[in-house]
Amino acid sequence: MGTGIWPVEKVINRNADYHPSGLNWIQEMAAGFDPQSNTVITAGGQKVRYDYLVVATGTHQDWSLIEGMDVQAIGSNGLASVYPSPQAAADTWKAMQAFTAKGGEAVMTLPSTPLKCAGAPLKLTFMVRDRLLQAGTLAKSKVTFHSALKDTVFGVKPVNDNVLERWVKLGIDVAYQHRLKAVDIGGRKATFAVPDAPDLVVPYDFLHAVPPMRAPDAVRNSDLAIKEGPMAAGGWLEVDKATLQHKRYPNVFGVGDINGTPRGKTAATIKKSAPIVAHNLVEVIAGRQAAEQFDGYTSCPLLIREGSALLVEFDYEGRLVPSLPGIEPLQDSFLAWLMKVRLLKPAYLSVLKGHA
Amino acid sequence: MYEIWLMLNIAWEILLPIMPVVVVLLLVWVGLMARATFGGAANWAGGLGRALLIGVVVAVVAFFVIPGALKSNLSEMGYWADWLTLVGLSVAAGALVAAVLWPILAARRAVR
Repeated sequence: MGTGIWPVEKVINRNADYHPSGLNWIQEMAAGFDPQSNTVITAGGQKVRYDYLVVATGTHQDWSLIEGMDVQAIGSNGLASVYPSPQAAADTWKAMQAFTAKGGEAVMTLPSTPLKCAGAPLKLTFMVRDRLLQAGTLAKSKVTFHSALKDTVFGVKPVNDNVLERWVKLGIDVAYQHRLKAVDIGGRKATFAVPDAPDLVVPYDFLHAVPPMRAPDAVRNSDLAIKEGPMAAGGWLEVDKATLQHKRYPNVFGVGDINGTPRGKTAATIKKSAPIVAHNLVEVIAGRQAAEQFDGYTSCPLLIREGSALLVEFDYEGRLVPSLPGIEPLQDSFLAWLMKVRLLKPAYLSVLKGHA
Repeated sequence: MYEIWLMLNIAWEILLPIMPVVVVLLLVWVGLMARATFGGAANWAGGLGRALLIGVVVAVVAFFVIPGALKSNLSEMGYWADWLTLVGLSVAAGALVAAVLWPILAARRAVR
């Protein structure tokens, strides 16, 4: 949506259309978890007791860490972000169209926290460059990627290296350890914190802002959160990375972005891991051990220009693990493009319905 | 095995929004087959030849049309998997048209 390939309607569905029969749907957000008393507290104050719990809250986008940022302003003054909502992604496309019509400075960003769909900032970067080329304004434009990470733009080395190699050829510059800390929306200036140096103020004509992410407060402030180690700051759910069962509360499981696992905040991860969690939960209910294991499968169909993509699939160890024999993950591919634009949604729906 | 099951589910989900149209087309085709089978001496072999010829033409056209229809283009065929996919889709389009035309052409050739 953010680059004009899908309309917003394509990603909006009704929850009720996908509920299995017999479901008791409490239409309130979970505001707190008390695993010691097997209770979820809703935003409306209800205390819901459970025997078994599957946590699937997703991430919290911490926009408060970017001073001056206003998600309602996405789509105007060159401000873009695909993350807040489907409408924000659609508005990002509007901002991109306005930008590519004239050209100028495109500033793309990446925070240092774990984030959902870590490939999206890279896809936006590839696609804004492609849209500039299509609009005929590439020659008077510059695309720069500001990564808050030490010296990478993606967590899987072969993919990272391949992307950086492509960006050199495409004339996309990269700056490291640049953490977006403030935005002057009207003045079109982005401020980056740089270690051991004064803040860097960068004027832009198009800014793709990516929020730092963490667990929602409901998990982060509960005893379900990781207490120690590198993932503790984010408050992520403390699950065993293989069984996705909570390490201290065996009647609790996690699915999706909330999990404090080394990788995998993507739809493909859900597609593979949800059936494993369901199986393990049933085993635990039956008094057995959660034995089925998840290998951290993640997939990132990386759009590199309109009509072509890379089909990148990897596991916890960062090994490339293509699903289909003979597929070359780092090859520009029409098949990868076809899968992304036409086949992923039907695949997702069939998993959502529990069919595959 | 899982990949095959997943592909079948993907095909189902793609067809689901247009299922009424698919059902009508299927019923029309069954009707055409029935008419050709029971409505007189159908020339199946003769009809097949022309249907296949038309199917080949459709497949060739599809080969050039499909990439653009999917917001891509022929120059984006990066390696064998892409060409195999494009050829597969084109052949499928041609085969579908040939299958629909066969009973019609078989009945027409019998009337002659």
